[in-house]
Amino acid sequence: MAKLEKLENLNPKLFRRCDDRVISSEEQDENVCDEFDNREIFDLIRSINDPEHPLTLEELNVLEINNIHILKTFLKHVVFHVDNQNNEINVRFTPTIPHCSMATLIGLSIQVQLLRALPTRFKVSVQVTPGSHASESAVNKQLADKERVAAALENTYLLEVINQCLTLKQGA
Amino acid sequence: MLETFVNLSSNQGNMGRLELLQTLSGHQGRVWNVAWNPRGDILASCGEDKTIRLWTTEGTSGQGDSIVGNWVCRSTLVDAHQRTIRAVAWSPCGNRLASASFDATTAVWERRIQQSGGLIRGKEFECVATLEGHESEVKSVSWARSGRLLATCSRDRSVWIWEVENGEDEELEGEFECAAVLNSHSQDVKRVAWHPERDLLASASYDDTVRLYMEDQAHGEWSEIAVLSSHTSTVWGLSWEVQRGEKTEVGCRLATCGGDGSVKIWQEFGPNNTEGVAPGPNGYPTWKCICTLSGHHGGRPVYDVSWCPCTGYIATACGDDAIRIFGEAVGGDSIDFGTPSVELLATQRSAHLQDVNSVTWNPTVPGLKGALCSARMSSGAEKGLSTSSQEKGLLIKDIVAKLESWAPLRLAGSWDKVGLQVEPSGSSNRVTSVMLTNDLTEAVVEEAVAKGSIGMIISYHPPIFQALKTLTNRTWKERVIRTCIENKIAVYSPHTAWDAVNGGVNDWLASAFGESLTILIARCNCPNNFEEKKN
Repeated sequence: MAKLEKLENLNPKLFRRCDDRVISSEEQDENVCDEFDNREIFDLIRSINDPEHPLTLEELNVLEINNIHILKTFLKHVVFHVDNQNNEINVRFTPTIPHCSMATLIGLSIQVQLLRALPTRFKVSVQVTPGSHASESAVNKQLADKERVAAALENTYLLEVINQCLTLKQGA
Repeated sequence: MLETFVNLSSNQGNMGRLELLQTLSGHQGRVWNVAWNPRGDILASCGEDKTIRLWTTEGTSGQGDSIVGNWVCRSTLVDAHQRTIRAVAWSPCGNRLASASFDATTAVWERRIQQSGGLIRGKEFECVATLEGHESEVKSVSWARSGRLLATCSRDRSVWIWEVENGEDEELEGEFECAAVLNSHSQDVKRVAWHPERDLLASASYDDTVRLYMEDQAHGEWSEIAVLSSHTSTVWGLSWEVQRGEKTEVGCRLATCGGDGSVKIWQEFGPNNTEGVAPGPNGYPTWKCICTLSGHHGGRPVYDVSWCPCTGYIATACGDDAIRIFGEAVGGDSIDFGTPSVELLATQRSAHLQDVNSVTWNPTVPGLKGALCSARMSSGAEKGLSTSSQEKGLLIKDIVAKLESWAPLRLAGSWDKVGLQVEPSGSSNRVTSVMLTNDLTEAVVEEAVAKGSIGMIISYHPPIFQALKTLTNRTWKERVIRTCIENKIAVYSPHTAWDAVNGGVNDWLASAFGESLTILIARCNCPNNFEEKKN
């Protein structure tokens, strides 16, 4: 774990983990095209570790399944041809405390996890839930800046911290 | 990946159409920036793979219609940067090139005569200087018209102006001297661009503003002369208008684009402007936003804007994977003074598979030449993974390199016959599926051929162990190898290299005895056994 001087949130409230996904027979059918759904994105993110606590984001309630929206088909106003799948993924997360200094790091971890796991056609946008963080717009702006994100991922120290957040815990 | 050339042709009505001329592949990972040399016959591109590639048409003689030819990568400039190369810029004469990198340095390249064994082998770019000073990622670089000034900007919030003594007609000898460090911005500076005619510099930033700088002739000091604020998010791109013909009376104009999905056009109003706009402080011109193009980019960031020096068209590179072309209506009867009437002429959706990062007009080939072929531009887009969707699979040499980086062949017994045993002809064959087998029997080969997609078989035991003297139908061994060759299937055998590697077959077999003590009986012929353990 990264060297963190002191915990900002000493006693986090814990939440029960969600049950495992039930895989339907249709999903097992190789001939049916499965679209990405909320649950799939949720499963990709749920086991990310909080940089401060040995707990997953899900257990800390940093993330709820209903906060994940996969925006589907809509028409843009300059229409040349119908864009029948907009390939957008919009994740909003709520940090445990409103002044959490780790918010950017959590957001970056979610973003990296999704960028690594999903096909490149998706536009991934990760933001904090409106009103849930003291410097919401600053955090959101940083997360949306792909140049900063790209540069951050070339920083070996930061990458190590992110990889630790993304490493599956034993038994998780 | 990569760059695309697009031809703009005007069909009936206003809506033009872009035509893809060619896709240039070669970069690994995302391409961040593309730049035409001043003659317009060499395109430079750079990106995540820390290289600069120079592209020309095959058998190119000069300019003009050479753009229609087949573009190939003529040279790749490597080893100057440790991290992503964010931007490249040509000097006005085209003999020098500057590259800005996330490694906090800027490299200057110069075209020099290459000699080997007393023979002159033409001119190639060499890295002749590395400019250090920025504290963090350098994001953009630009040469002034004179070629004697270079501007760089960085995440450290500063803009640096560098001076060089040598003109471009001589070889670079002296160092680049830092002439000014400008700390006007409160956040990362994303882009710098010199005015095409004057020593006037513009910078765009994450702090949502654009700032302009000039040298105070009396004191010889560089200072900020104007702040352009109107964008509501990061300003990503800047492009100056090259004034053509009669327009020189009017102040110059600048196009900017940003994270707010808009493009803005700014105009300079000098001290004696006819419109009655009050001059700025210290008698400097006033800058006003005279046009905002919003609602065209689907709410996505606009990463780059390019104002064509030949036609006056404005091209944008957008985070929605599209390239758009805007044009100014001629003789628009707008009521407001000086307000141009700019309209969307063409949209190329899915110009790239991911965000379009950079767009630049060719400086010599005019845009609309008539009804048919015309504007040339290229754009860089994102990311290496899209490489695999265009060219599926991996090169055999890459697979072999990967396998051998895990288990080097020198770990194998000296008597063993390991490695690539059958290599299909042609170096560009890509493998999409690899079949694994313990022994390459005839049944295995038949199965591989029947599947159709198998490009390589990894056979644990070496299929060719003793020398084959013929390749006939006589023995099964010969038939197996011949079938692989005929079907262009590569064969690789790791055998004892995989036995010996840490975590390999031997360790796996030993694990059957649980935690019991394992004693090294024989050491493999690797000089640095302990280093291999790290693998």
